[in-house]
Amino acid sequence: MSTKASPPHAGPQLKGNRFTRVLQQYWRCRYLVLLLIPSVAVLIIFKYVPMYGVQIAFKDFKLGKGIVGSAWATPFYAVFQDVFAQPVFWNAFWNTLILGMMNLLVGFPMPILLALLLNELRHERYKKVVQTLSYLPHFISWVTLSGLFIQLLSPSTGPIAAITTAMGGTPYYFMGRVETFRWVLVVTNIWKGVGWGSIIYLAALAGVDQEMYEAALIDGATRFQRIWYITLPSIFPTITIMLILQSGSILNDNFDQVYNMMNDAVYRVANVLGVYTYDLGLKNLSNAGLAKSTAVGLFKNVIALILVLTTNAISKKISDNGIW
Amino acid sequence: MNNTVRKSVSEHNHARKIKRTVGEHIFDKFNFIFLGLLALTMLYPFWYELALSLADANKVAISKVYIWPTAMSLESYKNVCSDPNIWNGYLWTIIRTVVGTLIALMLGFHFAYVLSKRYFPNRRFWTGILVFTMFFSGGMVPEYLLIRDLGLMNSVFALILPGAISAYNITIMRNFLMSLPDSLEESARIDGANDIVILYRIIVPLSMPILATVALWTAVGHWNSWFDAMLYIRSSNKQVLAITLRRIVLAGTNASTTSLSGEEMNTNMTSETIKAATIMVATLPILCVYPFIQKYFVKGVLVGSVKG
Amino acid sequence: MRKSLALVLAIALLLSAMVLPVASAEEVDWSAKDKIKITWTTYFTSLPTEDSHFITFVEDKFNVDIDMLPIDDSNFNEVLNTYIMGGETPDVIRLKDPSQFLSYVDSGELGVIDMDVLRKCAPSICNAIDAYEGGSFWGYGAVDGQQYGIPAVAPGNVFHLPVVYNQTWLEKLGAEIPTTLDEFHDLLVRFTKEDPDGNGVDDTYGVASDGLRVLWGAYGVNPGACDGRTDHSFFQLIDGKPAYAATTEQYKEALKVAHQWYEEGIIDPEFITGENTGGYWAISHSLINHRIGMTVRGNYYHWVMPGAYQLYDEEGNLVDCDAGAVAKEFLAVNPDEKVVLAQPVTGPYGAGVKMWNPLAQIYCFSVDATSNPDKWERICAIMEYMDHQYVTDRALYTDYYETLYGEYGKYWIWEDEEAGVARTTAKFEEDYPGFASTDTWGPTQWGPTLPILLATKGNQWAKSIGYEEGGILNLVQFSLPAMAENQSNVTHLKDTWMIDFITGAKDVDADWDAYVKELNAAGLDKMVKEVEEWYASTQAE
Repeated sequence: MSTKASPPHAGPQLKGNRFTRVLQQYWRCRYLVLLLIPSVAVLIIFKYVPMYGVQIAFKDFKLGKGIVGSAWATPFYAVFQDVFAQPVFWNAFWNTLILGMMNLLVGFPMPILLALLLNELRHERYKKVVQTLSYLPHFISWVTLSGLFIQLLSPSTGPIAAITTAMGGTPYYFMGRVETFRWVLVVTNIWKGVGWGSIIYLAALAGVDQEMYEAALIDGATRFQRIWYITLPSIFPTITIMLILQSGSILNDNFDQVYNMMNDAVYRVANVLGVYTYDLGLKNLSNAGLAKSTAVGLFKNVIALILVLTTNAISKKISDNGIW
Repeated sequence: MNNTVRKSVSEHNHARKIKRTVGEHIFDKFNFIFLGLLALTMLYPFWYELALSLADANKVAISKVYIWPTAMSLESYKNVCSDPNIWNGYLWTIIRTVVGTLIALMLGFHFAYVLSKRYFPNRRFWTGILVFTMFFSGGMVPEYLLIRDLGLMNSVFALILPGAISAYNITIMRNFLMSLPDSLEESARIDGANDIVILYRIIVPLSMPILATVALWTAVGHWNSWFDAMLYIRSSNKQVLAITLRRIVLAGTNASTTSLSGEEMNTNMTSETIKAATIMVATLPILCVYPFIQKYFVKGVLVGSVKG
Repeated sequence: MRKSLALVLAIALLLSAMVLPVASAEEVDWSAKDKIKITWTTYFTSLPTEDSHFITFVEDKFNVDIDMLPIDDSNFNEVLNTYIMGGETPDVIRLKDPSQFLSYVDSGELGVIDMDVLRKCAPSICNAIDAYEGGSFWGYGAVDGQQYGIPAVAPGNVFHLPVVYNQTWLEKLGAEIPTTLDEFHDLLVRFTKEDPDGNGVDDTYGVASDGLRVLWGAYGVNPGACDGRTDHSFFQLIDGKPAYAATTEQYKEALKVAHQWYEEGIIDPEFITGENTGGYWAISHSLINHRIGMTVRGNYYHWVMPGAYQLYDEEGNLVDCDAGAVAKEFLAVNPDEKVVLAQPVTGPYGAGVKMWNPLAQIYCFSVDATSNPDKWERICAIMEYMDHQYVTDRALYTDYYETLYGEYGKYWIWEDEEAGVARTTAKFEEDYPGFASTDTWGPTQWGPTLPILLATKGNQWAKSIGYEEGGILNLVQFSLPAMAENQSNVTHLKDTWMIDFITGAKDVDADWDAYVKELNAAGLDKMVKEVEEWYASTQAE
């Protein structure tokens, strides 16, 4: 046992060819390997074994023949050709991208902001209450919320309209206008998810070294300076990782939200990929429909992968933080 | 250890009290009021469901319930609680949530710990095969066939294992672990502790905030999941709560199918209050988890334990 | 329109056929045979527990082991496909969206029905379908001369959508129920301008999205309400040729009127977000909250005022009926007001509003179910038994309703024992809140001909106010392949344009061609071609 006293990476010089050297490395980390085996086993069985399903996107899929039994499409990208030839797909793609960008640019900082504001609350119990309440909307379904928002935003009877009128403005039909509908989605999405999203940052804030604050206080730093120079940098790695992960979900629209909030006056901006695949696959799932929705999913994921790799690379360059 | 924390926090607050400027006073007031108002708006939909669930459907106009029903009744709750599906559902939901969260946390945290070690051989490869699953999956059909062929149909493990490895959560945990200073382990290693001992003696106590966060995410996910249960659980006495919730809540909400018969959609308005009561009954337990784990978010926990 | 009239006639025929005694299947002692397992699909919203009466009753009587596969409504096709690909095609499949039917036949998943056995073991089901529209509905379940499915006719869908007015408003204004489009327009103007709710504020309108169905109907078409989720692919016979309702000249003319009305301010400018703000689908919050004076939403029974007709109570006395589900909410908000159900108004192209499709589903079966004679006989017998309201032996009704609803007296009572009509109790609604409780289907859907119960007092009342006439019926009762693929997008776009035409964001004359062009690009042209071919083939037969 005494040989294990030193860290595994600092052992004696490794000998032999490349293969045996790697084996020796693994032997040195054998406890880590022991930890890794069950996790990787579950990963392989439950994530990699079913992966063959991806080929549906490249097949002339027939239900009766199954995934493996169906013939390959000719050419193998025929399903993609079909999908890409539809104007409504591109409409959905751009709508999703725009909505995703808006959600990322406007929505991403909000949970951080909330966490910082909560962090500045001086009354601990009040802070806990606010924290708990802010996480409630996560549990209310969009079916319920959409009805409430329609009433809230009604230009004639809604409270928002009443406030606008009282201030001398003209009420606006937010839900029924193409110009504003995306913002309705973004804002309601933030409102629903901000408390839930701030949890990870609150966890990160728990790790900030309190001594640094005390030192800063002695130096006479203002509140804002302390947030800017101590709090933010301390949770910066968490922010980076969340940003990288979220950049991959730009094309993952919140179908539940959009479908429940939309009406057909705004269909041209509300038709996101989720709505498109729903129309394609769930309502009218023919043989071709399943292949098409798989193809759309694959296309989305390839783009997500590219986005994440790009953001990751940028982040690595700037801050040495990354998921890779 | 706890003393250290409290002391340091209170010293910190004490110091701040002295230093507060007029601007900071205004900021504190504003922050206090703003967050309070925000929290009220966030309470409202939940409050609304509560009010609805307590409304007496025979005396109150359901569409006029906003703040509190003019006539109250516990009838809806009696109905919901007399449904055997609810209690069975509770049992299986709690089982899947507790066991599922524990398994996911263990597998995930081990994975994250290994990946956080820069000296682990082929680390990029192991990270790669994990991250890959964040983007690509086989889809519903092959997953279903797999579960069936493994003989997991009708078993709670069909609900637990497929989602046990979450690339997203593991990446976040790994990131957290990498921010811990290497020096923490050095002394333990010199004392002859192996990686597993180090992980549980030193790393886990330090990682409580992130573990609590991921546990919350996983638990809430399990609590709300219904699709996998519908697919894999065939016996109704093993069915989870979310299925019953969905069945009751979705009845009569849309009339969207092409060949829909009008007859089919004729449910009674009374069910709106029952729906609300079901939502309350099915959501309240999981809501209580958050306040419980908030103690891991207290400022200075990490530093305190390092010192302790 | 002629088509729907013919249908109504056929249904009337069917009704009379129902009263006549029909041959019943012979009694078989199933316990002497082997116990077999049958998998049966059901809808999520009606999930029964395994040991519930609904299932054990059938299991005991027919010596079978029923495996119910409950599938969520919103993912029905997806999940069913998964089972099929796993080689576990359910024995009995109730396809709610018949568009799937053709693709399942195409991939060889469905068994060919042995019609001799079906006719022998389920004579009343066959008779009912034979009697319906001259038996033409069988065609919906046949492909290349082989019968793969049993069409489930929903004869309860004979009534058109309700045309609902706020009666109190009518009385206050001293107005009559309009019968012509001009009168209808004048009434809407008065609803808008003359403050019918008497609150002194100019906050009322005539109609919103659903009520416009009356206008479309006066032009002889049903382009649907503009919510993107109903009235997919509505085809009608126009001048003897099948046409997509929302690209007809009639619709174009009607749109101009609708725009005119919008300019006049008699259409609620918030019609875009719909009349319902969540909760129970049939509610028109706009009507209940005094925004508008009329609507066409839900079904007649949603709007029935208390005492509209009488029925038997649990002691067998005739008592006033309760308010319908939506009427109840209306009365809770406006205790002193009333609504009235009226007929659609007559315009340049007649009068009418949409009615639901009588073809509700197609019942189809796994290859295993149809090729195994023992199993097939048993399935036929179960369906027949569960549908035996056609059978003359009234004593069997009790069994039937016990299977549907459970314990007599607790969960259901006779509404009219003589006619074999039962009614669920309040207790049933309490205990099975998720079930479509007051309907006639019960928690499981065992057989293809739905228990009709047209003899219920409510349906008789609807008949008495003439709701069997004036319905506009979809020419195509189920989705053809191109339709299944394209109709969602086409419907969304159709509705976007409808809103734009009404509000004037687009001009009906100037932009009509662009509208048709965009719909065609989204797949309407394929759908129209397909329907034309299908219609020609049905005419050839």
